[in-house]
Amino acid sequence: MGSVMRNSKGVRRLVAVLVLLAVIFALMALTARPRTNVTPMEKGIATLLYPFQVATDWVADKGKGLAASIRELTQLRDENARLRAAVEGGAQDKATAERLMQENRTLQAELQMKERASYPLLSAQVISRTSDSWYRTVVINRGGRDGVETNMAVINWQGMVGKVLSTTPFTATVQLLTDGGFSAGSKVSSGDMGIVQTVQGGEVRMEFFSTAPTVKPGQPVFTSGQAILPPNLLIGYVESEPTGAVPKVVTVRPAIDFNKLDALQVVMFTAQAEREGH
Amino acid sequence: MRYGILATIGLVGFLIQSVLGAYLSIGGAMPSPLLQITVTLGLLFGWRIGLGTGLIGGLLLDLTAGRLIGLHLLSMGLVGLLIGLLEEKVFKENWFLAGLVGAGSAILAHGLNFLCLALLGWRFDPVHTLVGAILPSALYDGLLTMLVYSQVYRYYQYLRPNPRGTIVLRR
Repeated sequence: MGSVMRNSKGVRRLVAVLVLLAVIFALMALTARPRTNVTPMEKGIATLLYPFQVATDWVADKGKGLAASIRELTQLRDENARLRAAVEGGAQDKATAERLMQENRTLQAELQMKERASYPLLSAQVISRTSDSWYRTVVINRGGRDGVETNMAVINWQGMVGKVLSTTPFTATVQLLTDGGFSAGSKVSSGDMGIVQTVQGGEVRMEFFSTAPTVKPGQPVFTSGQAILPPNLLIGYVESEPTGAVPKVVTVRPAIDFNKLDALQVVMFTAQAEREGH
Repeated sequence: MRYGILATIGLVGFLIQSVLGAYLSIGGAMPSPLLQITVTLGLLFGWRIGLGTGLIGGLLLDLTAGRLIGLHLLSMGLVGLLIGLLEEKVFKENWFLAGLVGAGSAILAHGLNFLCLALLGWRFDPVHTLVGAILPSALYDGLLTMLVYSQVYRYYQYLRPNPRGTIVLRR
């Protein structure tokens, strides 16, 4: 009798566990589809974490500044020794000129990017990065309060960084181009169109609609403007010859250095809005 | 009081992971302080605490990420439950074993995540995922679990269900 009761208790527990697993998996499947809105609970948690993220970012910035100062101090000592040893006094002038030239090149590149984009841009700062092995996202210090909306493109002076995945009043989560599951309509300079998709692990691929695309390594890849993102944002450069039967696929090297994301810009409208004439 | 302290440990783990997580990553290895805490509490206090920590921690991680809800809930809940079932079978003072269990748990949790995402149609580069993310993270998690376990174990006498130290006979 006792063993029968124990067995039935065991079966009940097993059924409860299986039902719980099924419910969780169903929830996962439901939320796996692209969502335009996050739940109020997600919004609440993100808002609660915002001050911690800002504080951490501030401390990290100060830490970086301190490390840079120490590095700079060491460099300055070396430089001082070199300068003392140098016969000509023009070495410092030359270094300053080089630094200014570099600064000028960066500013010019940024300006060209702005001219090329010709969209209203909103400057933003990365305050937090993903803390998960499965997602590649960053949190920026601009949100719904600043007019940021889901699916807006995010860029920097090098090219496209990603798109806005969700917003809270103060922050927005940006899905990076290297996030598994990222996709965007794209085109190469020859006019061939396709879809850029990122495989989990960070490899970016472009699948062509055409069966015989005119494409070669080194060609730039831009957004096509056919779907959500605005056209002509630089995604990256073709890295390989087309492979596969149908569709033809190439790998794409992103234009961005994702290890150095700091100051970003949000493109303040989507292609959909442009098509609708907003 | 005891549950309050355990909840605080979990909350601190969540804050470290969600706010400082990216700063703790080395190369492709991303540690999970919440997983380390789930393993530690499961090994020390049994399956109920392990399961509870895993489920609540996993849900919080899912809600923070703003992506799939249930991914970490499922993997961390299962890890908490399974590790908690080992509670009576391991020597609690063996923190090296805790490290091994931590590394194994990380592989299990990542493996479950991989399986779920693959079932939902995500595309993977399996070799890159295993060698570039899962194994380094598991090694990192194993090392940090030893650290977390050794610190929490110092207070085990105060946190365990029967703080007077009397022997509880189990059936």
